[in-house]
Amino acid sequence: MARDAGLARVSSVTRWMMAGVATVSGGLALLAASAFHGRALASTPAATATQTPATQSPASSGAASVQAPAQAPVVPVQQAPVVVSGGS
Amino acid sequence: MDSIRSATWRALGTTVVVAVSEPEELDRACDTVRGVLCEIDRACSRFREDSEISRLNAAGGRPVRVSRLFLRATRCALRSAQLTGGDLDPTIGSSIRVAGYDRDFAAIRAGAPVRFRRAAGWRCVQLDEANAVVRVPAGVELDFGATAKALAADIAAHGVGEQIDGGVLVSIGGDLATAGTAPTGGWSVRVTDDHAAAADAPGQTIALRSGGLATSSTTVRRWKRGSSELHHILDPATGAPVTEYWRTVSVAAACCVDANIASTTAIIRGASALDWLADAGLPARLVGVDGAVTVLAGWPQEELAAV
Repeated sequence: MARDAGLARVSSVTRWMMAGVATVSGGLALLAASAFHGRALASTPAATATQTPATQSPASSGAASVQAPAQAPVVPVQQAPVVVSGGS
Repeated sequence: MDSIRSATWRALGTTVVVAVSEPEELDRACDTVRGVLCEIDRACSRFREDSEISRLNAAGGRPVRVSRLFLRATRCALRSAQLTGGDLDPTIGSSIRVAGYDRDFAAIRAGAPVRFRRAAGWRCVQLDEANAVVRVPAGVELDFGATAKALAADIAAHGVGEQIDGGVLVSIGGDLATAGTAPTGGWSVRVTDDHAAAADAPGQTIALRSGGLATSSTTVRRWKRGSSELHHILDPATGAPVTEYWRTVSVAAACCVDANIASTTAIIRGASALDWLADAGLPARLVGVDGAVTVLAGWPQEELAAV
């Protein structure tokens, strides 16, 4: 009887210890997660890199179509060209 | 009357011209443009082993952290591909190298016939904007030749425009960007086959008041491989120089990059470019291989603009 009661106490203590360890571990994990934000590494595999979708403009600084000028070229008043535009 | 002052020098394997409407601003403008050109060269030159594009092309498929400028150049190149349905494609690098344009153009010599290699396709380029990382699959080589000089012209012109009084025009290999207040009557520009030609070369003189202007031509940057003469405007679908329908196309647009996208795409698309340019409202001058000139979308008629 005494041995059974002892074993029951040991089992109970073990369960409480396991629960306590799990709680403390979870708490520490939450604390660490909130204290240190993740950062992608430069060597992140391609699978996790952001691939520019074909349907989304990859040029955030550019319009979604080729933009016409505010004004078309005109017949020049000034005679001498300041520059030549040609193939290069 | 504006007294335009300009300076000319060589950079990026081509001719650079900076013109300002306020003469006293020229030195400051040139300093700014030189700085931009150095940065673009370090980022985008295929002919420098230490450039960012060379490092990326040699990375064997690994992601590479890049500068903000290279990120912008990549976005610009991918946008050009998207807007043209892949007619412009930055993954054309190995096609260009295989075709023989593997060094500064002045150093290219005649060589053996080549088997052309089609471009890998721009959708394989991975851009991680948040971390400034770009990745291309192993074996894929980027080339920003279709957009980098125009981007440099836009960046330089706007950089100068924020610093000086009056207006500025920046030309890099004949691709032009303007900023600030243009001189009275606009910037007078001779449009012809070769940007290095004299100001009275066969062509047309027009005045540009804002935005950008670009000219693409198959008459320049030609070389021999076997018995074939090649030019530098390749069809990404085949990797071979495009069949020449237009020899020279000039387009005006809101900025130099967009003008250059349109002019190069028109060379690639041939006859079908007319509807595309007209639908986009892009003033353009197209010269056929036989010399016949077509203008559209408000580009001044030849006889009215001749000097």
